[in-house]
Amino acid sequence: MSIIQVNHLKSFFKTEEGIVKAVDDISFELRENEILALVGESGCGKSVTAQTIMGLLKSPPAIIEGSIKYHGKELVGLSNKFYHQLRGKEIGMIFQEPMSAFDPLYTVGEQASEAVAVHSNLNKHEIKDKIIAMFNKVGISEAKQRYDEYPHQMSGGMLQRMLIALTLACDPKVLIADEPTTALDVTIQAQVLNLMRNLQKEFNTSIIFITHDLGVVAELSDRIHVMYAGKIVEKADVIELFDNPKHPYTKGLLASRLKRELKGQTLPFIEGTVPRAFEFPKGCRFHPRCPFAKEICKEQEPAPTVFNDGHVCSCWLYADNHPLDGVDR
Amino acid sequence: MIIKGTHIKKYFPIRKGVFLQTAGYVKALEQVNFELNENETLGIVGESGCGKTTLGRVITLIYSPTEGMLEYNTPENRQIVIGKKMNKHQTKLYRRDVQMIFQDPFSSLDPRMTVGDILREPLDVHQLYPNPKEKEEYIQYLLERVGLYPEYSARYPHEFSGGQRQRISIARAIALKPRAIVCDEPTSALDVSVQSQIINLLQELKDQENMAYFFISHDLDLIHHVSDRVMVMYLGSVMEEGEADEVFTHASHPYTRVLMKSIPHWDPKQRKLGNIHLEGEPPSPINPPRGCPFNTRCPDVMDICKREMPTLHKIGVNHSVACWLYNNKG
Repeated sequence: MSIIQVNHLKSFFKTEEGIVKAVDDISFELRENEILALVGESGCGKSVTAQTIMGLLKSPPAIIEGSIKYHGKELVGLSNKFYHQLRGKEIGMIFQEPMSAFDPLYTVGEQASEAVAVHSNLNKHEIKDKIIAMFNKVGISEAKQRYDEYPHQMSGGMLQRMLIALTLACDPKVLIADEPTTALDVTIQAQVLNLMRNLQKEFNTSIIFITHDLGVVAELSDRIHVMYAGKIVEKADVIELFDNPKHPYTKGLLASRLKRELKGQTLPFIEGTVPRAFEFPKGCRFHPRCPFAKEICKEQEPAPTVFNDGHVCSCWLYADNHPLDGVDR
Repeated sequence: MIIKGTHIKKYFPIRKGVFLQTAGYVKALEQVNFELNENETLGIVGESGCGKTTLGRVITLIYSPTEGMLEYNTPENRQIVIGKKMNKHQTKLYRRDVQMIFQDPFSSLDPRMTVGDILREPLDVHQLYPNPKEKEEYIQYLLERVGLYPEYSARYPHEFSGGQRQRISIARAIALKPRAIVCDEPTSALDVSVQSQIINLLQELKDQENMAYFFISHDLDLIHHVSDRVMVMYLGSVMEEGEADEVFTHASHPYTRVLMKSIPHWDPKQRKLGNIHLEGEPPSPINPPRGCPFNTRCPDVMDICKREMPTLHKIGVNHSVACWLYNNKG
């Protein structure tokens, strides 16, 4: 069953340099109890997708089209008043920088209770008990004392756990995590990823996990959607994607991984750089960097090709009448 | 040998109150020894706060060490002691020979200078290529060398992407034909698909220009890929060092082992983060624990670890570990 259904979603921004098509016609669904990873490099639109779902983009300047359905309820165009009941309670979000997600002037306890107070009718003491219980659950030692401390007294890893704790304290059905471990050290990252997996099982939350790190994705996610320049170029189950990538971009990303046995050798890489958002190329947006680019790629956008195992890839290489037919791909 | 550091210590005073009295120290580096050889990449790996960046900055004379000695072996094979006692001429020579590439390509290039200006400045300071025509030609050559078009010299940094800016930083670093470059996380601000391009370029320069790198990174896979030798640091101390393949295949220090296990594997069929049992977080460098700095988190901690700091102990031809597990005293 799908919890969130996104259809032909577009998030554009009007800027002085032109219209930025940050997210351009993407469709996907989030299923119950799964961790769905949105993967891509900077500027691919993964964070904007999250912000659009959360209703965090003001329009104007943002232009949002298409549909986002949460349990069948349309979110695009929903007023702020209704969104308030949804945010935190139904859909929670964790941000990349735990340091800047907290207000330095209030204790972490005050900030955590505030969020819970908005969405529940518990009294002060009950809320405090609940928060401390959640802090314990995410592995904060001496949670009682920590409750009355300020953000600057914590490390990044601790704040990220607290953020996860306070988000989950509201018992959301969906959690959107935007690069939650990018600012953390590897040993702490491992702890946080572990924690997220365990909590996901315990609370039956569905998670949209946004990251640029394919290693993290391999550890955590059930399904992967690869994004490039505002488009979803490939969708697959995690094992299928790593075993059998189809889109040249996905292949390039997987190939540029540092492998132990290739020490010191020249690394495979993807030519060129990610295009800027207001000058995305015509046709397939990856074509200037693609080693297989043909004439048609420069002109026309490829439609998604669906393979029998649910693997979806938008690339002319897999279109039925492609000029490369018969060539070993 | 190009640069050698002996017992390098760096403490940053914490000043408090009206009279800025020293209230304590951030102990960034404790007794670090290292040697950087000709045409060699020495990889420094560790988590934030382990002192790797401080060490890089001590080497490039951005910081002066609190204690210890840095020696530089000039191309003429003369040893000079680096530090405050160097005369102006020596300092200048040293700075020419040891360059730096910074982590953030967005803040390490002056936004008001064109790429040409950025590359011209070091040449002017060191009076290389006094002939203007030759100088311009050299700048064009530099740009081509790092994979940019020569026409770019008239443009400003904001017109470039992160990867291109990092190429400009590399061009600036190699402009003076240095013998060694300190690379402080040169790719961590870049996209995955661009990171390999920069690594390839650095490797190529190493092979063709006989460069030595002091390569700082938190990324173990990257460190393994580029390094000839590695040093693993934790809270200002070297925990393990040795030949790169040796350290990576026979990681011996409990910290190194945990670090290796913490890297996410790119294989969804072999998920293993669930097996990690490293609790807690690094202690503060203001109040480091007594004895071994890792004793608060170490799975194999013993009594002696809490009392005495282990010294680096040879466990192989090219492999040393600072851990009581490998020291007879333990």
